[in-house]
Amino acid sequence: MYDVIRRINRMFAQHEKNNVAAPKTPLYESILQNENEIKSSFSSSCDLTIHHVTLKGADGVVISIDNMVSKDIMSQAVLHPLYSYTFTGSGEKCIDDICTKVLFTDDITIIDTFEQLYTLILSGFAVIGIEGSRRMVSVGVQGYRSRSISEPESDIIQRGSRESFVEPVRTNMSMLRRRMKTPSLTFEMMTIGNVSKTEVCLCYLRDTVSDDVLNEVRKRLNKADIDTVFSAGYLAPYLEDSGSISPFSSVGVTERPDSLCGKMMEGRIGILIDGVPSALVVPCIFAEYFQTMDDYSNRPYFAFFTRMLKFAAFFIAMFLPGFYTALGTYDPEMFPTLTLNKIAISIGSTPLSLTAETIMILLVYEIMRESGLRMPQPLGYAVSIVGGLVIGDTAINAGLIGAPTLMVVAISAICSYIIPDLYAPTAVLRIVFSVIGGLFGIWGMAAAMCILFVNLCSKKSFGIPYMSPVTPLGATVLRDVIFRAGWKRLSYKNARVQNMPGAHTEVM
Amino acid sequence: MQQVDKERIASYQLVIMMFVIRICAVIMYPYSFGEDMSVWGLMIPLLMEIVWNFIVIIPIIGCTSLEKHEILPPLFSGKGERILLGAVFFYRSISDLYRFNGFGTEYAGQDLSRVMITILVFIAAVYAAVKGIEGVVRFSFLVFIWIILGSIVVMSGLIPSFDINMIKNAGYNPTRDNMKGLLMLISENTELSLLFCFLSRTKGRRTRPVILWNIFSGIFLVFMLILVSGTMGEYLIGMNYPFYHITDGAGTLQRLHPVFIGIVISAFVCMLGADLLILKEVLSFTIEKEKNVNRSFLAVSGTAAAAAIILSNNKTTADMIFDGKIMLLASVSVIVILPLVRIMSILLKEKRVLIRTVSLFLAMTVMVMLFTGCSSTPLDQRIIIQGIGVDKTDGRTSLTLLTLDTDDNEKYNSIKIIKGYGNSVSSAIDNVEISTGKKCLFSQCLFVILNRYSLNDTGASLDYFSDNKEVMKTMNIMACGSNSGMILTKAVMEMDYHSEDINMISDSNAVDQNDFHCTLFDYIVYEKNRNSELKIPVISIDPDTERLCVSGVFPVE
Repeated sequence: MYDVIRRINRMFAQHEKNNVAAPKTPLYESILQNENEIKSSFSSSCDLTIHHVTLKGADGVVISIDNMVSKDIMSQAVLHPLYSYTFTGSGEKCIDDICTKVLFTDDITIIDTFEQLYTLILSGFAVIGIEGSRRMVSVGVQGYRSRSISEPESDIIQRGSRESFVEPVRTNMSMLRRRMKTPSLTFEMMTIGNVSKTEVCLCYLRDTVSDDVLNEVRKRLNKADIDTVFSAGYLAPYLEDSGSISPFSSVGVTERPDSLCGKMMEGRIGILIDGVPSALVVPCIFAEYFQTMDDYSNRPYFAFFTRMLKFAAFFIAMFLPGFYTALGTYDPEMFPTLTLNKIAISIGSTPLSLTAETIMILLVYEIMRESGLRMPQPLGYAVSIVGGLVIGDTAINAGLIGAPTLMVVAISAICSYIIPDLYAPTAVLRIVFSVIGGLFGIWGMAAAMCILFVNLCSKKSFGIPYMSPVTPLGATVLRDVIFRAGWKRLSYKNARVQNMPGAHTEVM
Repeated sequence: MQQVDKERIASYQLVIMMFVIRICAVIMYPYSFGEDMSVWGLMIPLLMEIVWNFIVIIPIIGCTSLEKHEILPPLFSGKGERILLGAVFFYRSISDLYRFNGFGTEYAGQDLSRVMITILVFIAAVYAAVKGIEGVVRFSFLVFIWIILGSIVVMSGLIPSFDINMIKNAGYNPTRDNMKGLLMLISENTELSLLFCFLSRTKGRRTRPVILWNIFSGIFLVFMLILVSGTMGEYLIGMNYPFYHITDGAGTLQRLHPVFIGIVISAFVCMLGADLLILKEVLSFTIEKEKNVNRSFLAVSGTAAAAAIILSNNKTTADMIFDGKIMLLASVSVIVILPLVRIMSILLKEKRVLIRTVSLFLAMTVMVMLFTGCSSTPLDQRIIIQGIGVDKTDGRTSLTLLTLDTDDNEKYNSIKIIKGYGNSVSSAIDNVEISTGKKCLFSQCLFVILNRYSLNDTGASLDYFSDNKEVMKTMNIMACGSNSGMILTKAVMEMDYHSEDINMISDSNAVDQNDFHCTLFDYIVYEKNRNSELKIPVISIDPDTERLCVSGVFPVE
């Protein structure tokens, strides 16, 4: 009974959260009252700028946040026209005049609540208030410093664009708009984050997107009860299917606007987050991790070759240490004689067993990788020397680790960087498989691989099977998974993600 | 009654799943087709299995609910039939695990605990069942691709060195073997009852009627079953499992046995997963709450696994065809377990923390007890044997082992000679292991040389190696006149021969290689089929050149 009551309460609370909006406080007619209210909300923060202006025929105030607005645009497009114009009539008429006759900019919004005011000034808008009016005018004069468009860090390609997403969401939107000059490209702005009020933009092509998937994305984002959104990873769990536990994510991430445009052409939805230089992409299937923009720039035979390399590298990175420990521990007869001799000598001269040695080297490698990410660049060279000489050479000579084991781990590590997006599951699962291989041999490895692949096969991303189009098999769609068909064939009929075999977009 | 939201699968996915399950059933079929058993002697237990499976199918058909495009009308819809169905698939789960346990006993090394292997595979199958039919069929398609790729890998390895005579010499009898293959088809219809269970879950294409599509899929399935069963039946004659005895010139098949194990385990997960899936669906029809369904399912399936492990205690594969104890245990468990779970869940409803604590404690206790048996010998504690000399004198056997010296890093790939003595080859090996404190590894052994007294009784000398799964069937057999130990010692110590050099003497005979080349596989074929000849090359030290050479041939009679 208590369970039932608790569940009902929870449902009711959720319903209230979804349907009842937060209370909105209207602006006052008096500038002074508005000023006091704003100051108390901001606790008189030093970057809050409230500038009283005595205009011809009216008293006003300009509110902004220091270093969020461009002073040049402010003075030329806002202050100079305000001082030049002669206002007549009531405060409300003055506000209308400001909107239609005074300002030299088109990014103008009328606001009438404090919540709107806070959101806008914190987004780099300047807000103009006139004595006697319950409305204010917000003007887009953003001038905050942001990073310039640069090359992507992880999604690097040989041919193609060198642009990557940056932190301001509107800059990212403009990059997409430049590439897709079609009116069907639609941007939907949302605000997520109870405290941060982060702008989140849904991007999709109206002609290609599935309405069911789009509605589901909106529903899940609206349900995101989170205080702050500072990274793409904050929103990804809310977009995953509920109850789905898997080391692999069904939400893709990309740093490249051209890559996002290509995915939108296939009916996917991009999610841009203000302050995050990457975009989330849904639905995301497993085969996408092996596709890069370079595949579409090169000839099909080379694209096929590189994709085969990626598939092979993924399996090597994930399973090689496990198979090494399994075979070395329980089935040494699989090795050629000379290799077996080498391994036997190395095991005899090191203190740890093969399994323990493999796991230890994997963990040491992960420590080195993390330290390489965090440490200052000038020290990076020192770490490289320490890592290469100490770990690679001295440890072997000292008999702490064996050369064959180090070689196996090194090959696995190199292969794991071919697909950076899959590094996280690869890094963890290869340690798991090393333990299983060392404990239970090939039989344990096979059982564990069955569990992993069942997990992948049963996973869905917004109703699309995660392993599609391999299983369920889609022969037509397979043209861009293992092989990359020529552009004449690819452009003959565009594939849509919602038309993937096994897709049930109406049931999620 | 809880309504189960049925997932839909494509007809071709069902066909491929049936095929994968069939592969598994064929490979794991028990060693019952021995040469001393007549075809008709096998018919009684086989007919019983056929009747049993057809009794199962009728209530299965009745338990499918009528939906829009189903082709099977409902005959029965009562709770009793569903419970009967659950009991049947509970029995089948036990039977599947029982058979897998036997397969593991036959094929896994001594270092591995077959109990742990069975539990691991069981966990994988339970996970597949929990994920639903879509997960199982998609995974079975991946296994199908793996089978195709594995076959390509194996055939690619076999093609350069494949010799059809090796297979033909393994005692193949067309009439008898094809009949046995067909018997396997009609008796091991494990997947046919699954077919009826899942047929109602298939979705047809919009452009053609569902019935025609399902008929086509059924015909394709039957064709594939005949192809697989008939062919595999040939290879099962007189052998435990085909890949154990069949070999090729380079021993590639033996080296590729991880591929074989992976395929079998994956296919078995599909098979057991499908059985457990139906069991879970039956439970969902009889138990209302989703949470209790999962708990009941885990309890029932865990009981099946425990029963299979307990019942398979040291039994051979030949005892697994039809065991009345399994059926009794299955019936008692179904009658007892389900009500017990319901009563426990009602009584202990308020004490959730207590249930979790007790369950966790019990699970940990069981896991600690079962996490035993897996022990391995580290490579540095093994004697890697490259060549063996067997000398019999006055009833005593003396072994000269050429081994890789792994103790000294400086001398890479150097040979060390170890002597062993005993009443037989196996006792001599045991004495070597006791005296050195290391376990022998025979997989790298290239040759065995028998002296003339050993040649008088080749069985006593070579049976140890032919029965040892580690030994490669491509190991060369040679003979010498006097003392193989003396020849090997002189060759290694004075003439600077390595094991590969000695082995090449048998391989590189340029006069007539078929006559002067004898491998362990030739000996196995000779033992099974006494009509064939066995000629062992005789090696000696040429007094003029002071080098090893083949000086003659010893015909074994």
